[in-house]
Amino acid sequence: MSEENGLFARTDEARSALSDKVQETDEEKYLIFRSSNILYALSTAYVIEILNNVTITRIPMVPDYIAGVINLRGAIVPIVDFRLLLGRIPEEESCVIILNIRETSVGIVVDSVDQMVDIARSAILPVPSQNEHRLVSGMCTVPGGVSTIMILDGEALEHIHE
Amino acid sequence: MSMNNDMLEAYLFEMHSLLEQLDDLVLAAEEAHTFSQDDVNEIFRIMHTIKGSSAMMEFNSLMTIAHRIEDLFFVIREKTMDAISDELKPEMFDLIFQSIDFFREEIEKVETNQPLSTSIDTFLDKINSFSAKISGEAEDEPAAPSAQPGSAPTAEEAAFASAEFPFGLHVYFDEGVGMENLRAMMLINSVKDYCEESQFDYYPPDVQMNPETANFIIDNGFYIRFRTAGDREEAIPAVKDNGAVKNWQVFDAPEASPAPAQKAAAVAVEPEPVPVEEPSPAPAAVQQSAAPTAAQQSAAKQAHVKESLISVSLSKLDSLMAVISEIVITEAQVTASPDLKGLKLDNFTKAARQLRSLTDNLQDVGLSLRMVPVSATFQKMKRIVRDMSKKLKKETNLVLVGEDTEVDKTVVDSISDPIMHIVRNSMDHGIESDRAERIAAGKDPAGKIILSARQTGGEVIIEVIDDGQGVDDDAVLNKAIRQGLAQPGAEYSHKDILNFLLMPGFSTNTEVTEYSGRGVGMDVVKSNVESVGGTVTITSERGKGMTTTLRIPLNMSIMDGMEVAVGDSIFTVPISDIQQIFKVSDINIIQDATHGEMVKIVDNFYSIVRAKEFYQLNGGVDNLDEGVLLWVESGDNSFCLFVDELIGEQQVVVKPLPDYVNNYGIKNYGVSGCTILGDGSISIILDVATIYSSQNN
Repeated sequence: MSEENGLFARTDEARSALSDKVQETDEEKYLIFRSSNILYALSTAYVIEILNNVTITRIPMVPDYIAGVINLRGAIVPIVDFRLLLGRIPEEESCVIILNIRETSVGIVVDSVDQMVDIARSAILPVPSQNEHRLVSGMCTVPGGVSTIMILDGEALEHIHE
Repeated sequence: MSMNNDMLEAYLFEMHSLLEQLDDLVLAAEEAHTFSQDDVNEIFRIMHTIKGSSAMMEFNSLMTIAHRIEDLFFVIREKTMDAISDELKPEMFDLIFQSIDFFREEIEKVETNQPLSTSIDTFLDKINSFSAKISGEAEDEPAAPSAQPGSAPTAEEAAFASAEFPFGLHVYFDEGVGMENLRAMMLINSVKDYCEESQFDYYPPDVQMNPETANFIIDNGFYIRFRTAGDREEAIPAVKDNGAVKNWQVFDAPEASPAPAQKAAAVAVEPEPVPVEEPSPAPAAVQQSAAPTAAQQSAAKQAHVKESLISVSLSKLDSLMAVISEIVITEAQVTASPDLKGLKLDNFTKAARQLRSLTDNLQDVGLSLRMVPVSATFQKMKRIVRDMSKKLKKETNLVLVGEDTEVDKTVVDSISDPIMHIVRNSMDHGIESDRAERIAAGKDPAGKIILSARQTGGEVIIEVIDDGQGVDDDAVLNKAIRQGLAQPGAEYSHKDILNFLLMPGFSTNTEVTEYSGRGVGMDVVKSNVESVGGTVTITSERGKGMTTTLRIPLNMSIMDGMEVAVGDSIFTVPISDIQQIFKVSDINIIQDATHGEMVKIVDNFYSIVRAKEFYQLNGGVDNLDEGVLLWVESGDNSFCLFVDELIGEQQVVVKPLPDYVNNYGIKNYGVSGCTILGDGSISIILDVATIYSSQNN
């Protein structure tokens, strides 16, 4: 990290060793899904389950990105169409990811679910300010791959009506 | 320790119910201006229980006070209520109320783990000196005015004290007029315009508090008795002018002249269902036994109810209810399974039908577990009105309507504080401080607050109506401007101005009173009610009074619904809101000037709301003769809802929609909740009243 600064190396090494350790435990599991040909990642801490073939009941008088509600074993769970939320045109193929964000259950409709990966917090880079989106908290490269993924801010999904 | 906690919980539960019982009892007795012998026994028993339980828990302050009150009632029990002169009675009622308050305070301290009061001497002295007074008086004046040595009259006879009021009026109300007890109360209020309150009495004495007296009045009429014949003559116009009175008769108690012992005997006939015009001179002993039976019965009933109660934690009921809802849905899924289509299964069908009726029963029972009547909450308000009318010297009657409306336990908990606040507000700011002002405005000198509860389709509506001075728009607006809530110079409608009352930090009273107006006010009511998804509205007319309406959605309830289809959406309309369902042809439709549509039913025109257009749905029928019209009515709103077709009637479990979608204000468009149908699909429940108001905006 600071090989040129020989004189101060000791303390710096000690510090970076410490922060490395913290970063190792700072890895988090993310679920990667695809929506309108963009890869997104969402912390698995929020993910409850992934459903295919759900019947969504539409609710009148709500914005189009609120797809409706579903009956999940007797519980009424709201569903957000992620593609429409980001202003894209939804594709035919879709699946629903059920999330639990601070005790709020909500499902999001996406094109497809890709894989589960571990991402170190240090690998997540900030989004350039021109490209900022309130749902996206950072971006990174798929570990061992070349594609770029957008890291979603789960808590922001809880308050999309604001 | 856990053993101790269990005991403590049981103790607190017992104390709360005893104190509530005591409160009701004393309030009713104060209304009647005396305790019946049964009341005395009951209070004695309650105090004895409080004393015993408190001693066991080693709560000394509670034990000591309960002991003294018990002693006091021991004396009263021995000497009967007649030993207490009329002058002492108010003091006695106040004393008992004070002790109830004392018990409550102490209990609260126990609950919050605070040390109990140690300095109870002043209060003890008060009780002691009062005890001394009544024992002294009873001894010093063995012939107290109302006491009748020899005939040993029951406390109830003393309560009617009609020997003093020999000149009677026997009033019958129109048959089926309803709320006879309230009408009787209003009649009494109008009689008060002609005659001093102390110059007459009436039977049943508890018409104001006890809705059951309505039945007595229907069967036996209502009795008003006057001290002098002159007063009666003057009061007759009040009876004549009362719109609800069918007929009335004058009667004089025949005992007006003879010996006092006979007086007591003849008057005691009155509570019995025998018209007083022909009193039978039965022996006093018989009547004495007859008179208290009703009271005894109710006391026995109360004891029975108490014994058969157990307390269960709400969370257990919730999980039970969740399981029941699941069973109901699963039952439908099994019996209506598509796999069974075309099969002829006689035994299965029979068993399925049986299962259906059992699950229906289960559902009903499950729901009823969580339902409690609002009466306990309402009854508490009586005490508040009583205390405040004394304190503020504003004579006010509280009328309770629909006390037995049952609502979910959580709703009761959430409305208790708001109602209290509104009632206090009405007492403080609504009811005029000056009687003369009320009389000048043509109102009854005594203020009136009506507290009513009723249930419609998916919500409970609680109203607090006072007949006070109403809201002064200018004063409110000025205040709102001072508080920075309103823009000076801007135009505000009457409705806007009323809404200022609900804003945080608004308090119109310039003086801070003991009861309300601490800077927090109606905004707390609003936030409390909104926390359970309800709404608060205020209407008011200057000089006429103010009405505060709380509408609270029923979180979990069962409802008969009509499933209707519009396009590919399924909606549920509460059956209770549907007046009629019919088909029309385009010829019967009347167009109005603004492209609205109307249809004529019987002698009225009703506007048509097309669900498809109202909810901007894709698909669905456009031609009126291809679909169905539902004539719906909720409250005063009536209109026709046009849908594609009827699917069928079904009992549904009302589920709230998640806040996630409610946040988009769909409730304002009448989307009030949803339900899961037998096949697992979701149907949206519509609130007819909101559709109407939304359409009109």
